[in-house]
Amino acid sequence: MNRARKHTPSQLIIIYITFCVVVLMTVTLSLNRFLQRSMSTQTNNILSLMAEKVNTSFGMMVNYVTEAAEIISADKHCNLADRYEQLQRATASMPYTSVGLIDDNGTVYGSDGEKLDMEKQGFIKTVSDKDTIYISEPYRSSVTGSNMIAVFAPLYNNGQKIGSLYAIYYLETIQNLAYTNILSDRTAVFLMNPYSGNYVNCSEADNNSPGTWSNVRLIKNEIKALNGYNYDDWIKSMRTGGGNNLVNFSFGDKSYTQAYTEITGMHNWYIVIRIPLAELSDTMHKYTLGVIIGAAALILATILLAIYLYSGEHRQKETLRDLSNHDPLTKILNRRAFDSCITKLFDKSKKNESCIFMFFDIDYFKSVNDNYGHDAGDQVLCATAEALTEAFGDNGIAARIGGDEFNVFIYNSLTVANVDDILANLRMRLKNLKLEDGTLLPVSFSAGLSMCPQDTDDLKILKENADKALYRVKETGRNNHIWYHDIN
Amino acid sequence: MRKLLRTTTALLIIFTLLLCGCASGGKAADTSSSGEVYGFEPVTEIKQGQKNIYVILKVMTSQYWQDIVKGIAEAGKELDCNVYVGGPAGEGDWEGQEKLIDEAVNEHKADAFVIAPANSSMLIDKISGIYKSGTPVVLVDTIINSEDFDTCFMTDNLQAGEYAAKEMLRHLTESGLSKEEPASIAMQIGSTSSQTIIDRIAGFNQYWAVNAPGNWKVLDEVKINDGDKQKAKQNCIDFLEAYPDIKGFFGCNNSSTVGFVNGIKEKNRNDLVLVGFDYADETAELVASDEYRAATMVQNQYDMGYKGLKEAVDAANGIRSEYKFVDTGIVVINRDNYKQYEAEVKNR
Repeated sequence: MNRARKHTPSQLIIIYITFCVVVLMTVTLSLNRFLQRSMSTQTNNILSLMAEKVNTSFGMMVNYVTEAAEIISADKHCNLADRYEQLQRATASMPYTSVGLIDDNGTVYGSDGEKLDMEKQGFIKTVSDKDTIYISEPYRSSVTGSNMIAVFAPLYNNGQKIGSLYAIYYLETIQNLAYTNILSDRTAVFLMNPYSGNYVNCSEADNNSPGTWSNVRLIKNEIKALNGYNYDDWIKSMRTGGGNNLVNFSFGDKSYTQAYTEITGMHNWYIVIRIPLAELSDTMHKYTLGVIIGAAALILATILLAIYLYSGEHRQKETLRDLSNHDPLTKILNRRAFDSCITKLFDKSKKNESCIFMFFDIDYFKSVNDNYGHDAGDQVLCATAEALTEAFGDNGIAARIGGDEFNVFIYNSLTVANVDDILANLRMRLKNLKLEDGTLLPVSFSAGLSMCPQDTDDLKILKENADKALYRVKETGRNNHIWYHDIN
Repeated sequence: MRKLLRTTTALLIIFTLLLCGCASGGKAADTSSSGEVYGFEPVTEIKQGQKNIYVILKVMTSQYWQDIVKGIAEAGKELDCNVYVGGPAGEGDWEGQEKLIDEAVNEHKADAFVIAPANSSMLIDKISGIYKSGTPVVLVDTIINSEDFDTCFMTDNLQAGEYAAKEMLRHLTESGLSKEEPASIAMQIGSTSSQTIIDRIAGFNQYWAVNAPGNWKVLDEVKINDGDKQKAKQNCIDFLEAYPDIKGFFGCNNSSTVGFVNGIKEKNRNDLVLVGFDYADETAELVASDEYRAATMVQNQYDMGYKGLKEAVDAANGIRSEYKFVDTGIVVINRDNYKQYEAEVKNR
């Protein structure tokens, strides 16, 4: 059976980051592609809805006039002069600016300015034979000086047409109808005639005031259709009534999408609503940006969590490893770890240098426990371990084998004289040992030593030799150290 | 481990920035010029105790504006008031006009103003301020995008364009052109930024779409001459070479009309109809010619000045008009009436 290949935690984190980055990039690219594809569709849907909204509202403008005309027509004994007076009183609460009547003789019941406009714009003649609603082209009013449109409805008496009722609206009214909170003033509304190519601003679009006329021929060279649309086809579709009512294009340094919808009662004129493409894409990009930042933050948080968990686990393992290798009281190596450690050190050092093994016992340790208590005994063991470690420093490794027994493996080719000096110093130090409460507790020790390769080049025999030397020390009264080569 | 953490964070930040990218937008600089102004000069005899009317024009140097001044001076003389005329040296200098308005308000205590606004938006605050303070303001030639003024006397250029189209149709029909025969009409303009010219184009096309036979089309291509008569003539020749079925030319301003006149004469195309604007010498010659079919639209700028000043004086005397906009009209000049027109101008 094959064993699974193991990775280090660092490798796993790098693999994880790479995976996340690849996934995030793929998602982002896919999202961008999706947005680009759906942007046009979504924008177009919004535009179509807005166009319908304007058209519906336009219908409401017409309804005011239609309803007033129907009320007047229902009066069998209609007197237009009286009716005009009544209409004037109601004007304040209506969305139109002014209202008036034209009788079948062409007499206008309205202000002098309105009479002038009705004549000049040819409205009297135009509506004289109209049996339906008629909405005028935008014109500059003599009364307001602004651009207005007039809505006419026929008046009847006993089934006979007796004239028309008109209401005059500011052109901005149409723009206000198209207002939405989402795109607010970025929406531009135009009236367009595809036969003449004329269009009239109903808003402040392109630095033009409401009512400004223009012609498509004057801007055509600057219009570049986008996303597979064709501007000429778009205008043609207005005339023919078929095809798509939407077009995407760039004009100057901006990109737009616009849609048209027919106006009931305004022959050959269409409402065109335009919004900058960038407005929607900017909004969408903000969302995309949010998603990317969110995803990146999530990945970062995941990685930090992984690192935190890994560090915790690592520390725990270190602790466990430490506990399994060290004597819990004295913090120096225990017997198992020491044996493992010196086997490697011995094999390595015996080829080039000499080494020494030392058995080390604290003399009469049991009486310390008996006389001073186990706490004091523990302090003695700790102090001895510390003293041994410091005495040999980088030249030896000490371990507690059990009870008051210690082993030290000495390397770096220390000589007998070197070790004798170290042990003499150690003996002095332990002789002046003080407990934590300041009590002087002199400690002595016995040690047996054997040297490789002088005594043997076998570790097992080296240990036995050292043990024999210690035994000799104990036989001869303790508080001393003896080299194996001295007992033969 | 710390190194790994640092690397990870840096990688993620770079990656996020790369994904997000950045967008920047530019805003075109708003440029305006402010140059020399011609200080107010009286154009009537100045008398103590008379109303002081201050007139601020767009520019002082052209024949068009001198005609307006003539109308103003004549009305001022008739109504026995003190009329002062000033204006910027450069056309379009609305800031220069603002300076003159301030001077008239603060130093001369004007009783009424007649202003030809150089900018329909930038002067709204200034003009509105005068109007709301109770001093009458009458506009001539150009209207502002506000209703804070007394009356504006100007040409309805949309209607002027319609008259031009009507005249074009009449000439083409009289020339014997069949309604079934395909024909093209070419338009030339001085500039795309002039609303006056754009209105004429819109009016022409609006009338044409409703009244012209289906086979008589207005070309989509509109040539621009930037006021250069030589360029305008070349545009005319280019049109003739590119569109063999051209039957009529519409010149929307003086330079365009003169360019068409010169092009038609150079190519000796007396089969074409020209309808233009203004009464330049070259245009007048073609209109008067028996050989060619030509007509031109002329504004009543004299009336603008004359009526504008009368309105200002009335308003200063407390008689405010109920009209905000008065169309001073267009005169269509053709071979039938050019002599009469020239006589009227001469008699002013």
